[in-house]
Amino acid sequence: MERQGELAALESWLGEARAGVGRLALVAGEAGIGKTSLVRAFCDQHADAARVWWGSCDALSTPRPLGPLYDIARMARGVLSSLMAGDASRHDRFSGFLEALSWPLQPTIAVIEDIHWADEATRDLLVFVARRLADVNALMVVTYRDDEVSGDHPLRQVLGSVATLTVARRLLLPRLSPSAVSALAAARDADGQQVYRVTGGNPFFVTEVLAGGTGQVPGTVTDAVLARAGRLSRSARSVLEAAAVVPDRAEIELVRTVAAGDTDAIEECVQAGLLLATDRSLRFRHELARLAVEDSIPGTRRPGLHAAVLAHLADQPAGDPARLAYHAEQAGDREAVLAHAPTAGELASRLGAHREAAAHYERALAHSEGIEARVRAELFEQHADQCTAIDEEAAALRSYDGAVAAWREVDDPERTATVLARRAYALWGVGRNDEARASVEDAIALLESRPPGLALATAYTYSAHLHMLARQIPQAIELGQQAIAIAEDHHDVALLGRALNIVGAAQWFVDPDQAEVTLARALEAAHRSGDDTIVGVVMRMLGSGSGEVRRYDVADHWLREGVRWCAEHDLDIHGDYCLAWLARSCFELGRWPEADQVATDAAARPSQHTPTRIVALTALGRLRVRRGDTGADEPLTEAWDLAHATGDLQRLWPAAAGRAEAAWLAGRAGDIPGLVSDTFELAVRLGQAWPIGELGFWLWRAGELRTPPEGAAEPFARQIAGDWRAAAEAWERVGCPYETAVALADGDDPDELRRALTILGGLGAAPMADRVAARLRGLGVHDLPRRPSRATASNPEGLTGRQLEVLGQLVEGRTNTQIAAVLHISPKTVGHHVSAILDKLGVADRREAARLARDHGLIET
Amino acid sequence: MPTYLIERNIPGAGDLGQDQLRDVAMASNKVVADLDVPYTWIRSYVAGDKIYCVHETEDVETIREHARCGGFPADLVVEVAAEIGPQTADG
Repeated sequence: MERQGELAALESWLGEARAGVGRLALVAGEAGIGKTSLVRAFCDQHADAARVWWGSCDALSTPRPLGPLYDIARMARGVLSSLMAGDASRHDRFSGFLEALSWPLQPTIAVIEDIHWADEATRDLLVFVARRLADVNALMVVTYRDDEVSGDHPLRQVLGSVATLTVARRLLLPRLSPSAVSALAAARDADGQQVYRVTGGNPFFVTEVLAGGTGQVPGTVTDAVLARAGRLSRSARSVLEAAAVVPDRAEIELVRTVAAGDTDAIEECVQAGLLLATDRSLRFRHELARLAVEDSIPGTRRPGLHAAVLAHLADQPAGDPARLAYHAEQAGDREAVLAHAPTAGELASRLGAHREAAAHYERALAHSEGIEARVRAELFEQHADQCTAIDEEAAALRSYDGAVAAWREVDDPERTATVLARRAYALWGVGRNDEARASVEDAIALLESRPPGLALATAYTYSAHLHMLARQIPQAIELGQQAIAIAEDHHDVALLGRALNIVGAAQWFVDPDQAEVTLARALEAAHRSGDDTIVGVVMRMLGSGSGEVRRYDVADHWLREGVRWCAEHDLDIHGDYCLAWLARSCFELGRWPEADQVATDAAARPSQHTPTRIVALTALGRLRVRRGDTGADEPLTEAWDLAHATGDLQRLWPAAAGRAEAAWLAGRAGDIPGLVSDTFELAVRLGQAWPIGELGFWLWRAGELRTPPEGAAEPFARQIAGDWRAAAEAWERVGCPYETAVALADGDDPDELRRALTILGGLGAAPMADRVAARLRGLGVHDLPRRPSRATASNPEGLTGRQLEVLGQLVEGRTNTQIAAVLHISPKTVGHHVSAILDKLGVADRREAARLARDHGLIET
Repeated sequence: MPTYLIERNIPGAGDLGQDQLRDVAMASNKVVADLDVPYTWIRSYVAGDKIYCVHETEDVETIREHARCGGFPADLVVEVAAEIGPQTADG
């Protein structure tokens, strides 16, 4: 069929892979469009010139975790197959696959079919590999139904993450043209126009219709398939039905047992073009055909077929628990569900397929009535934890409640308390703060009369965390320290890392020097525990916590380090948050071009994590306000709305301040009290110095306050007290040039006003500069510098902040290794940035990029 | 059993390091063991952009199967008709 162009595209990418430039081909199109046929034809053509590995995601209601990787391991043999057979960690499996992909003798074509059905772990694997494929001699091909990946389909985020990578290439398969259909129809003496009208040019449908060969055109693809199946003998028909109830791979042995069919019956199905026999298993020519046959089996007969499949699979060694659980449920076999679903859940959870794990535990719970309380408690607890991992809070809370009741029934206070503590955190997440506090207090009350153990330490840690989030700092520190002591006694480094992280986070507000020391210990414990996520969490806390109290040298270091660590370890949510915070600290430090790029970048991250968006949009909006750019309202309003929903001071305060500043610069000082009063009161209630200072400052500007509010941070307090000179000095020490200039602008010393004007001009802060210039003119000064324009108005290529930095280094003529050292990132990452820059600028090499950057003023030299 | 000469086109083969050559040899041994038919890998010469291999087995198809399973290109497979050397002149 007419797919020469697509084959040529795949071929050229394989050529690039052969030269050591890895490629990821995303092959998309509706069901039946011929994705598999295309990729199979391509692989067959190159079977002698490349290693071909093939894995498929399956249509089980809860797919096997890493199913396609198991398929591939069977073909790849070697280290990968022993990794997959053993109990290696998920990271080792991912790395093992990546290593196996590079092979010096030939390129490798690794195909993963139907990733719209992929489990969560396989989706993570795709992102992991795609990000590291650039210098591997492999072509990875994935196929998916693009019309089924809409709205909140989990694959969307994966596609968003990989589509922008330089390794990614997309191939969208169109339907057949009317003339192609007519040509095919003519060969079978059918009416081409009619076939096209019914099928719309869908190749699978066209083939099914034409295979009917009766001259009569069936109205739907189901009719076409069933018409073909209807001509089979009785025994062949039962083979077909047996194969149809197995959505993943129907082994020939299995079909024979279930259908009691002989080789002739199987051969008849193959001859009729309904089944394909490959590698000791049978599959339908297409999933659409399997569904058509499965749906045609009467509901009364289906459980019996599944029971037979289950019986056969249960007899095989090392059966896949996800398959067993599926057939057990379809057969209505309660005992078998309870035997296999929890095992499947455990395996899925270990591989990071939390969505699938939650589904398995839910399946088990649906059949759990009347079983032993201890077993039911474990199921509820596992289900709740998996739901928490995928942000399904409502379901998590239902199961935490079930777990608490069941653990109480068996009278196990330690387990009851641990669940109560975790439940508290989930309650806080949905804004039920009072219940959350009550839950964690219940947990502590259950344990305090007993010898201190890890359950109590866990409860203390959660309680400390909730106090920290509510900015009840002394309580957070005290409880956290009790948790630290117990964790140390019991040598539990993971718990120690978590507890130290909370205490350090709380200390930023009362003793920043100590906070840095505590968090350094937390980081050390996190590294020792081997849990990459805790390391990322602590780095994020080091960066954002120090940023919030304006210790920018610490913040800048850890935010960049956090971005790097999280990128290397695929901790997107934490990495994105560090990136957004980096934008904020660049903004406050007056590095506005970088702030602009980084904030834009962070706001557009595919994770769409709410805290990240709030921080990024606030920085972006405030930046636009200070520059006098258009379009400041939109990000600030969105940030405010999102922050308002959280009710957290740390989210609300910067957005409120930004909106107040916008109103003031626009001459609407009267709007300010309405924009900041509530948040100001919250800050006063919690005794937080920087928000009290900044929001108090705006109320003072609006004439609502006369004296500095109690507890306000020093620079703001000085300015409100009228000591603009001391305020400016304090801001200079902190490192904020814009605030320095604003303080100077309150004075009446022409020299200091000129200094303010110079600072604002350098920043490109036009609205504030206009005000200062007007004041100077009022004082009779007339030889003023030109009005500032935006420092980097010219970045039409849309380079990100990081890319601009790398480009700056290229202009200096530095090598990747030198750049890596300067920017604290790996040389490999520098390489990725350089190729992205070359792509965006449309130049062939780094020398040309540097020349272009100089000529067009992309870099301030 | 017939002996076969196999020509494998591998750009940069001559630059492969000891570690890579060991990986290649391990992969080949593993495939030979898994094939479960009489198969002897006698010797290979790595030269320029090629590897030339001498294998013994029943037929060409098995040579190709070994190549496919191991990920070795097999651009040319020919049966060795005779083996000669300086001593052939004495015969």
